[in-house]
Amino acid sequence: MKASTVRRVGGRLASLFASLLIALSLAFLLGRLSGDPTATILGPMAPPEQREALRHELGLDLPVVVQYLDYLKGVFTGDLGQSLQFYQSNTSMIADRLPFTLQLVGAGMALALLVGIPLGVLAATREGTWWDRGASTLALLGQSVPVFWFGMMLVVLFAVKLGWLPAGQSGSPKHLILPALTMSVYPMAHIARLTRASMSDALAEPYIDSARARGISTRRVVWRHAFTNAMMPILTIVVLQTGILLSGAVAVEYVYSWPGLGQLALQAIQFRDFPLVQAIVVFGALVFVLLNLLVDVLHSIVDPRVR
Amino acid sequence: MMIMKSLRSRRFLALAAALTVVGAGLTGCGGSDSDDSGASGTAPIRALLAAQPATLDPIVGARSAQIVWATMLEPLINTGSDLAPTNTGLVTSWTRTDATTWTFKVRPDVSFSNGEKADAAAVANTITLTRDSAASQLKSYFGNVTAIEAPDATTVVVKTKTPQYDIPDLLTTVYLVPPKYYQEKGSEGFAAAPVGTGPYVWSGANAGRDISVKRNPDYWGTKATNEGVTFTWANEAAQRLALIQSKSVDVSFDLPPAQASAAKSAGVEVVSTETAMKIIAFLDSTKAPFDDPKLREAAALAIDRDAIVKGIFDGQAVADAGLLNVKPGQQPTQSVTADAAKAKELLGGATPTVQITYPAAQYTNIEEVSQAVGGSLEKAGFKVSYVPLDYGTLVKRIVGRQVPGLSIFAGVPNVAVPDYFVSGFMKTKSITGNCPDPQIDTLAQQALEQNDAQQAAPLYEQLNTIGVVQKHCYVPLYRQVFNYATGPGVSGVVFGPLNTVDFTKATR
Repeated sequence: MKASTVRRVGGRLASLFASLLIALSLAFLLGRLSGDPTATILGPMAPPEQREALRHELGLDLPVVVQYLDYLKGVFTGDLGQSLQFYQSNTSMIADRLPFTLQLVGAGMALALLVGIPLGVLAATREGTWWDRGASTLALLGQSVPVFWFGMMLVVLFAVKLGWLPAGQSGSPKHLILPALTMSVYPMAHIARLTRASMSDALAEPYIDSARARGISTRRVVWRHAFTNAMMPILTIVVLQTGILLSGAVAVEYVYSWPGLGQLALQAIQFRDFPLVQAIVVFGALVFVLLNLLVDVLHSIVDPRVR
Repeated sequence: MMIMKSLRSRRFLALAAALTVVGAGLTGCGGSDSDDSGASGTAPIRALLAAQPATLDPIVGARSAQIVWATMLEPLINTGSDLAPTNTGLVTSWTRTDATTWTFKVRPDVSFSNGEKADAAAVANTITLTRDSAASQLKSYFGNVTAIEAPDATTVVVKTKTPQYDIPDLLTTVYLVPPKYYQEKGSEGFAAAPVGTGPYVWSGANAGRDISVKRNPDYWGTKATNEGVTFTWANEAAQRLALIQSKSVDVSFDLPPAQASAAKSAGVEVVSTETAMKIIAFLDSTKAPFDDPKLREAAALAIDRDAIVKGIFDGQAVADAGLLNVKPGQQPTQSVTADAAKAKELLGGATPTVQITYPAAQYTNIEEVSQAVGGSLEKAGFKVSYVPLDYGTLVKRIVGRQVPGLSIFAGVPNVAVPDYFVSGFMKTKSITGNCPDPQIDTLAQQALEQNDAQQAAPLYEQLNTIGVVQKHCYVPLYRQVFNYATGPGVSGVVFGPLNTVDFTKATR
């Protein structure tokens, strides 16, 4: 491996590590700014002596720097602490909830791809027509509509009025439909718009004219030649959107009482359970950093110019 | 280039399709479909809560989870419909042997569902844990208890430092845990599969999704009519409404006023119960501006609790004129009636500045209530500023005596005894400490030293009069009304004012 490549990889890893450290530090600081957790644990009527005793037991009476170093040591040794409200290990709680968030994000992203890419390609291949305007309007709507509102409307229509689907919670494939649909709307619109732009550029390239001149079918030109070359930005946005969805499924999980990480984060915030909030933030940051790394790796594989 | 090839064109879409199918399949692996609304009669009751219960360990757990653990665990002493202790539970009788000694008789031949004996030793162990555990929610209740002994299998002797008539009342919120199992499992292990003497036993839980209990076939009392209860939760009130409307659950708890009205309009049966939770405005008499008694009186006269209840809650709260009237429906003999003109007159043209501190988003409509209180004060001539705080910070500041002016928050008693509010809010060394007065301290101690609640009642009336009517340190506002909705054909769910629910007679 060339020295310059090693330097570039090292630099990139260092910058990702720095991002992670900043996220960890912010999570720690915000946790300390969120009020006294003993008030929530013991209730308002507990006497100050009991409150102090609990603060001592939780290590909250130690200097903030010591607490911070203990916290970092825990994170890097895989110990994310214990929840103040559930009295359980935060790592095991995250592990319990992660499969639900993965299901939701997986299904939502798959729907977004299945609809977003064909919609974008359709708009690009019929540029300036009503197809293009319709697809662009749909994409714009998808990016503008508030997820929370859209979710509630779906519940009212499909669960309350029509009774076709469950209003929320989990347990069967039917329970996944509305949350996944809600989850998919924003990335679907984003992917559709990006696909359209990317495909328009690709379709204007001389090699496309050349392919057409050679008599290759339109379908093959669009999907094999143009789409393959337009795919890199789409792939990047898909990976990054997945990261955003993984760490930002709060609204959808809240609306549908979906038992994933977002719901857990919300409850932790409401209870001022800052060790749990910190653990979820750490997890989210780690996922994001790893996905960024994945994007870098994919870029270097697909495009030799960035190697 | 291999990756490039595999990601080519339609294969990319095929991958997306496969992800959808796998996602749906995984969901199916998560458990059975809970939407079994066709079941009837003794089928398990599907209860929807407003939040996932925190720990199910009753020693350290918040009382919000009581609805769940109280299906499996029982309090040491039962309460009747008037919230007074009764002899129908695990402890069947109690006598005050002398001024500071209580002797309790424990029901014989009762066992925990794991076979451990639920005898006097178990009762003594539970009271000791409650008094001594660092994170015990009820630790402060038992600060006066000096000794807890079990001389034989059915007798428990509790000694206190000074006389205290309400010890049996306090035991109504202490839930019996099996000594060996609790010690072996620890708090976390116990909460993961609680064991008690109650009408239901632990059935299982799906992390973050549900908790199930099933009928205890060996229960010592009247056995449950239904096969069990499955608890699920939804933080969003509109979701709780949608789930009951779509018949996905049998009972949906904690519907705020707007959702309760919407449910009624949609033909869903809604039950409203006045709770013991009181919202109170505290005036700090130790700091300006309310170190001036005239200004406290002006503020107390300016605030119109009836208007607040009518204007903001539309019948979903009950105006409350007293501080120590702990039982729903109870009102004090003396109270303050709003009189805006007199309040203005007392201010005499002055415009003192008042800071209103309240826990943002902690209680239903608390923002609107704070604005209404502020509006009344402004009308009388006060200049008002608002300080919304998160709950933890507010409590910390109150304990640190850093909340001048007026603060609004709730008193949620776990037991229906006036001392809960006297010790918490009135004594010089109370949490709020906003009304230090040696006379209050003396009367508070005298009240506790009476023989029973009846004898203590006049003293508590006197204390209420001093705090609310004479010194104007407290402006009681209202009691919260708790709403829950039941699905078609569901009956027998009984909600108690102290956040307890009896599911044993529920059917669907």
